[in-house]
Amino acid sequence: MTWTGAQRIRAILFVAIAAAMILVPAVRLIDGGTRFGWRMYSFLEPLPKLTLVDESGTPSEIDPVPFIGRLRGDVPFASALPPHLCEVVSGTARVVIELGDDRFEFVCP
Amino acid sequence: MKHLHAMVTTSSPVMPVAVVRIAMGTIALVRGVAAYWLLWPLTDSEIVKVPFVAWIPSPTPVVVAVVLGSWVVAAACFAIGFHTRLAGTVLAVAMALVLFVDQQAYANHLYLLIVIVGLLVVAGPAGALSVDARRGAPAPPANWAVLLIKLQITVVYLFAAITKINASYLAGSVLSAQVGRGLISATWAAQSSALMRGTAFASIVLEVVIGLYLWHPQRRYVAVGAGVLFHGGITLLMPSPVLLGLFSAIMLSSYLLFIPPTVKGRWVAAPDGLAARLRRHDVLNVLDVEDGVFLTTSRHGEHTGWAALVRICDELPAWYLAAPFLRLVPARWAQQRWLTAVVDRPAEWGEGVSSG
Repeated sequence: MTWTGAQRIRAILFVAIAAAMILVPAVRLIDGGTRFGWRMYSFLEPLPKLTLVDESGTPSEIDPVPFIGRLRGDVPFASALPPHLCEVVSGTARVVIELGDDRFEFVCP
Repeated sequence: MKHLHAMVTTSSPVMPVAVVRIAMGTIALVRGVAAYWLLWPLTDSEIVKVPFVAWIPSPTPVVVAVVLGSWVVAAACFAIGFHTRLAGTVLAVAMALVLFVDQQAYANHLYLLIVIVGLLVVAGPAGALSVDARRGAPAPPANWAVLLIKLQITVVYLFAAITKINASYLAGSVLSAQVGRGLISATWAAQSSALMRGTAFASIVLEVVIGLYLWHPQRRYVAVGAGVLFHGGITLLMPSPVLLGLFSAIMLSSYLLFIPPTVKGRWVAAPDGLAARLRRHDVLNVLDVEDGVFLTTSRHGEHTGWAALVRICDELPAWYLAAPFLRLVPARWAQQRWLTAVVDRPAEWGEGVSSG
């Protein structure tokens, strides 16, 4: 059994790709990540409840869906939406985010 | 090392890879059109952008048009096998750009499609049923790359099953939030917590069975039958039927790669035209049958009559999806009646396996 250079490269590629196919989702499984881990329809992620507070301190609850391109459970909307809402909803001073039992505030820059 | 050497020096059957290439190209074409509706909202300044890394620019209308245009054209070329490797490379790059442009554009089936198209390009998928094959004689597909596609299919099923082993999924709450919101409205099912718990458990078992049994020559039909039920179920019952349908099509068409090269069949004495009819469906060129009353296959032992016919259907494109269900008693009973009526020699049609 003799190996040519091309055969060695193919063998290395095979082992490397096969290892990546198994290791990437294994790592995602351990770190709890969702993407590239074949985690499909296996968990529920609630949408954050958002309240905009204007400069006079008046709160108003808003539906986040019109500001979302595609609703996916693995997208961190709770951290991405507040700065975006500060930009596109004029007069917003703060955004209050409620995610499950957690409640935190984002102050617009 | 001997096995590894054999793997990188052998080629895979041409026809299954060619059929899978056509399937993936067609699926990618449909997905490219669907991507417009998913991607276009991201060009709106009112819509939040969630890039994977901060330096990735937001999609603009021009970028979306160029990327999706390239995607659709490349997918069509890949399907018909016109400059296949170039088309597949452009297609994989265009799909990857969409996958990474924003976290909202990510989809597991798109990631899977990129991997499969990429590996098909490496394998060499234009050996048959392609414009390239008409113009020359492309090399047969590399076995090692085809093996990687099969490994990827199993990895998807097994990790999808493992990640479902969590309290929320096993309690049925994930399924009850999804089931009945698809093409078939079945809210009554979603409201039954016992049914949802049972379905959750069954879905995990099905995914493990499919992932492992696809590799088992004698039990592959179990995996195929389970796959048809599983993918049919999620496509009909869950939200986003188009995207789930595309995911299902990717998985089900990939099963063809698990069909071994040739099944040797033999007919002794002639039921008119049945062998010829089988040959017409034999796009993969895996059958070697002669006319005759007794049909035998030599791959998994010898079978006669209906049992042999079912096993041959296991190897035929399109029919392989129905073959597991042909084993069910009513279909088998009806077909046995039909076959004996055609052949008019009922005593010669055996029931099943005679050796193995």
